[in-house]
Amino acid sequence: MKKLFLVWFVLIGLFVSQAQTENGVALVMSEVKAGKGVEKILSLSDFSSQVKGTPFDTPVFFLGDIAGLLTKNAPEGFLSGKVAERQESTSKDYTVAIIAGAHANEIAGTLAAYWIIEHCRVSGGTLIVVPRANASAATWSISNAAAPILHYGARLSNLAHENGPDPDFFIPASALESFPALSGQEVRNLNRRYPGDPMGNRTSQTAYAITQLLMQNHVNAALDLHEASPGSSLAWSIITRPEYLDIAALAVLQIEEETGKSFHLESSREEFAGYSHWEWGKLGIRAFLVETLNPAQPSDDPTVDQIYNDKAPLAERIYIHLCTVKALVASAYEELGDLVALNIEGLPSSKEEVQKWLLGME
Amino acid sequence: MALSILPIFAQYSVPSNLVANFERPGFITSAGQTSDAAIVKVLANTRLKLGLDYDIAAKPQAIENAKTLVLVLGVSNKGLGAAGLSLEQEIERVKNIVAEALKNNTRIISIHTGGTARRGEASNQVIELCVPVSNVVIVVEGGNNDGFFTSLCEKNNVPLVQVPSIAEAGNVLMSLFAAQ
Repeated sequence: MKKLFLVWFVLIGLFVSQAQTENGVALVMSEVKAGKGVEKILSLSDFSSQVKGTPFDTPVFFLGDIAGLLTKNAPEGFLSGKVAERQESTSKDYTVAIIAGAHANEIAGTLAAYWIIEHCRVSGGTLIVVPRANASAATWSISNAAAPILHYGARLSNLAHENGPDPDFFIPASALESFPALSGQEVRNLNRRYPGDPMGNRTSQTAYAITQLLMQNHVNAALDLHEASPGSSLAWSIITRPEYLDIAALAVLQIEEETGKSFHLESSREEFAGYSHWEWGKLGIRAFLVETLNPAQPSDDPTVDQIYNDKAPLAERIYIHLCTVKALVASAYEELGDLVALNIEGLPSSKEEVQKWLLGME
Repeated sequence: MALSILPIFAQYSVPSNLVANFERPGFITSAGQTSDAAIVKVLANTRLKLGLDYDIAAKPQAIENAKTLVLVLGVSNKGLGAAGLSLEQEIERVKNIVAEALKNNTRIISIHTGGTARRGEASNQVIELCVPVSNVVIVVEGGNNDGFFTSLCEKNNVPLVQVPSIAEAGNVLMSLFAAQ
């Protein structure tokens, strides 16, 4: 099986390395094939034009009942026959966004998003999936680490794609005066740039476009999928604002029941200025940052076997991300009350099922 | 609290003398500002309908009427920051709330659900403060991989119930409370 996988991996690696990396949409579409549950595909630049035609533009996949969603900018051929015309979204819509790939070296989140795009059907609401929130970060690596199906990218945007050099230091726009300055390169860390600035650097423009995507589609709950290093206290955790801790706590119990993995919770605070869940939460979105454990981090060690790793094999991490999606969608819905339940069909029933997908043996 | 034998209930059976031995009203708070307290609250109240009061940063007067105090153990720097507390201030708060419980003969259940992430030096300080005054300690097994809870409970003659999951910790908690 390993031999077969290696051959497959080399072929896929050659294929994706030839993908056009100067356009983020093309890069992502070379890695994933939309399944029958995808109703339409837009580009992030449809929500803020600054990233159009740049390596930061990235596809946005819509699954489920999309009649009430923004469709005015859908490229020709990207809308299914079910979508006749744009209608205003209403408070009855239950819309969830899955954002992954903000850090392109945290690969399990992007692969979980790819699973949803390829396998899932959604009813009772809408699921918006952005598998590569920072497509530029997928175009380079600090260590030539590799993984099946996708580019193993980096934590930060590609400097070559930015519209200026890094500053000496960086403080998120919404930070308090007492906030300690971050290293200048963090200006290219998408998960420090929310809610974003249309006049900022490319990374900040991307953050702005994602925030616009969430707001224009009246997203009720948003999940940002990440990974952490084995030495980090964030591994296997959900981080959220204090007002959404109960939702996350319910999800933790469900995740444990389904996977045997006990997550812990972290409550965020003002020091999380610029982070996705903190800034989206300010907008009234039930926002959660989910962290699994990537054994190759923090150095993106290329010698780590992602597939057969004994501590945290890739298939298990993807499976747990997907169980977390299911649990958080359900518990956020419980709190929202009178909305129609969002039903996601096609999630994996085991990590073995995910493993077969990774190995191309479905 | 004083038992002649100090069993570790690895199969998460609860000592018979502790079953239904804790009364309500009960109160849940953290010892260390871990958000695991929110998990225990949801487990106890949303799932198991135990109806316990909750304040992650409760002050002593909040537990005046409680007959049982549930302490969720573990230090979170993020939690401390969210509560605007330093570690020293949090330890002082825990000391005060424990003193209030002891003064009122409020019985104490300590729970640790956070695994190795809640077993650093700061967490150990809080654990060493709370375990000796507890009537029973419940720990999800990952948090006791090094036997820290085992030796601390043995030394202080406190029964320890070790469980494999947070859900099982809830079942133990349920069994401890007398039916209303």
